[in-house]
Amino acid sequence: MRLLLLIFAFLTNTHCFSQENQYVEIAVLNSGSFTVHKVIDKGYGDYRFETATKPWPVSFDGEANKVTSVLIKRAGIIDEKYEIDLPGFPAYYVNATSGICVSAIDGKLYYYTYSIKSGSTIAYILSSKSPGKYEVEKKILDDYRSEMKKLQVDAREDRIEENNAIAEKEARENSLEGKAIQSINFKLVNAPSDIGMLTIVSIGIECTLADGTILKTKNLGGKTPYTDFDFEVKGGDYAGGDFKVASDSRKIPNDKIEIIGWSKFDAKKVKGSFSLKLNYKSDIFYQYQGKGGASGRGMTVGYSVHGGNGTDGKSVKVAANTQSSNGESIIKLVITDAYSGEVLAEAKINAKSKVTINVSGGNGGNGEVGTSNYGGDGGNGGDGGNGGDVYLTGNAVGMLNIEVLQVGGRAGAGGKGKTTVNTSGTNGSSGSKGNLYN
Amino acid sequence: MKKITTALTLGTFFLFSIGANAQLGKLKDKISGSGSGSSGKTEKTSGGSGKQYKFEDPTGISGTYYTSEQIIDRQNTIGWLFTKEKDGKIINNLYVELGGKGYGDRPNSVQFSLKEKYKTKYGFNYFYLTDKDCPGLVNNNHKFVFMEIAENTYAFAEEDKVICVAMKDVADFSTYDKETAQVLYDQNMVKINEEAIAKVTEEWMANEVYSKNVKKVVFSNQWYNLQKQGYANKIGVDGKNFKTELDMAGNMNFMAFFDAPPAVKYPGQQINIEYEMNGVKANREELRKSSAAWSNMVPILETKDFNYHQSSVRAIREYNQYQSAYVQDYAAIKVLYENRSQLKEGQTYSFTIRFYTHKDGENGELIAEGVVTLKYTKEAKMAFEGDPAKPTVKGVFKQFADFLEE
Repeated sequence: MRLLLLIFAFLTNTHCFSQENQYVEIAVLNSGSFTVHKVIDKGYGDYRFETATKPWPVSFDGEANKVTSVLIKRAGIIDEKYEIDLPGFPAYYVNATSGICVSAIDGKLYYYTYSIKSGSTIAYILSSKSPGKYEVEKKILDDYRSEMKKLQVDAREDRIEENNAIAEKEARENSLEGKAIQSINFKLVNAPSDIGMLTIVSIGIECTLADGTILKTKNLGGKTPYTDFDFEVKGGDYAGGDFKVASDSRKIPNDKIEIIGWSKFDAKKVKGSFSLKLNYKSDIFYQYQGKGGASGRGMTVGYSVHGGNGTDGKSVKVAANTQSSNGESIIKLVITDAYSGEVLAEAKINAKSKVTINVSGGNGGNGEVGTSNYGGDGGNGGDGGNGGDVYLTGNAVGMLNIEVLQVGGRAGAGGKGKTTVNTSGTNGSSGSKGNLYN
Repeated sequence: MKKITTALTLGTFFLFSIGANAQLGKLKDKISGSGSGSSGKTEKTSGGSGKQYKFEDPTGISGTYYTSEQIIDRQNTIGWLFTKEKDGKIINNLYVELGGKGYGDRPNSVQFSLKEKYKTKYGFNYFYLTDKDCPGLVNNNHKFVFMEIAENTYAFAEEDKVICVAMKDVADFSTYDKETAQVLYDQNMVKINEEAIAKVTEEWMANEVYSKNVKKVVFSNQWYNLQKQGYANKIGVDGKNFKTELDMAGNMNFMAFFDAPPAVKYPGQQINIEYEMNGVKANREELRKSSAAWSNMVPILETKDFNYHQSSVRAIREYNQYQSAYVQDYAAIKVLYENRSQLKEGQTYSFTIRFYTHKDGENGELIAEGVVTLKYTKEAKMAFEGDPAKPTVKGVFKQFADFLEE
């Protein structure tokens, strides 16, 4: 019995897996009906093959020794087509839509999915031969795929080079490098009706070359890189075809956004320009909340770390006054630190738009759970920070659509003791809510 | 053809949902008892033998059904009693008597409900489990359904895996074996799922944050400005905090919006991310394969983990509150490192990020791309080149150089 087991172990561990590519492997098979051995999951990693009652029709397309695609009629009902992975040295046939692969090895047609991390997951083996144990068949298939990957290097590099050459040609055709430029035009991709602070506007670039060719950026349907251009912008930031309007109206001169752009390769610097007036119809928000306290997780020998205290939200004054902009009445906000008087931000909004000011206190950090070998008491929770005060002034306070968030920070929870003889840390205190004055 | 290819996509799920069906054998054994007594081989019904149920209703659904495999040990048939209306109210209830001995003197039985929508839209009966009176199904919360695949013929599926076929006429067993039933079940599920997927995409497209940014990479200085925690399957942000310029001293987060979930559109593939600045490029896959150190630093990304129209939030570099340290994508840091001699305080630089599908060492389709302006502020210079006032604290570039030395 022991001898038999040794022979079996020898056979299963030293099986010779094929190193032939799919052209060779599949050449020994003929189109026709294939007996189907389905994998049945018996649970707990126990997979077995069960022979289905009906054979499936399979046909191989291409030359006899160069099959380029496999057609499987699953259960005789659904057509599934599998295309070769690498014509120079194929390892499998794949259905691009489902990701299912088919490989022929030693007269068996394996039907499976493949993951670089976990290898193959066999669903069926189509063959007149009886399959071995699932683990043995999986190993044969995984070994074959690994071996083929090594042998595919040359063919794959050839294809990568071909693809790179195509990509480089396309890049050259669409790049502005070395090209004489006649004009540059900016175009709104979708003209927004409401445009205010923090709005993101998609703006594309169209470049007419001296020979009349028109090159466009991606957001206008072209392939010219945004990075081929240099810009000067006012009123916000512009990158990747998106203009983000500034969060501070002091950075928006004349209530409009402006872009001047040119090719970074153009010595003559032929320029295009763009400007768009703002109507400030966008909701805006400003965050001046306190910071959360750090959680205690020092794992320090001897004691458990307490949670840090949250900091207080900033107290701010908000002066709201009406102002005219681009022919319309808007509200100008000046937000200052209530104690230092420093101007934190200036904003402009339409009366119908909403402004949110968040001056909530930071949450207290939780105390460390008792884990130390020398002191298993839990750390104390940190206190929550207080919400900041907000003072509203100015002639437009009554018109202002404003939301003020000024709750106190949540108290940090005390860490539990390591054992019942250890004490738990005390919870922190919640911060108090700030006051709103107007 | 389009329907067939879609069928393939969704069929993959059914065919290879081994994980979801890992308990199938155990539960089926539990129900049928084949785990202890039988050899595990398929037991076919014995011709027309088996208990005959005298159930009937005007729709013709009720009656005796023969099963291709015994659901309950030694029971070749099951009895269906369909009740469309009760006490003036439409209930569409299906009582299925499985036979054998259940609790007390009661036979094993289960109750199903008809999904009217599928009958109206697709023309087939679909009954889903609503109640059970069967010891073999205790603690089993799997989805069980009876789906009509032909006249008076139903596929009985657990978690979308057909476990037997039930039919009124035993002659049909030669036509509808389990594998055929699975294919027909999958085809019907494709119809159901196609609509579900279309509905999800429609919902995403209705949101301007998504529709304006499909196939784009977006940026911010905080992860929560890109995606609401725990809501990877929907848009939870208003996009107001997406950034086009980032201070290199702070967090540099990014996220991709896809035209379809890569897990569905590109099954069995990987995701490769490429970074570029001033013509210097680096991508995760090439670096991952270059050394053990890089392999440890850059884990494999597989499409199967990208299940939604947006990726998870990633970072060029960000402060991790829990680890009390910055974490960074070393492929992106390599690009910054190779540009280090050109970085000048106060200057800005275009930085491009591209998401590709990837397989067997080759990039496939470009599925998302974005450009952000990185600002090399005074604080960024200190973070990357080190603070002269704290010579013992290494800057990012020194840390990276040490890594390259490995």
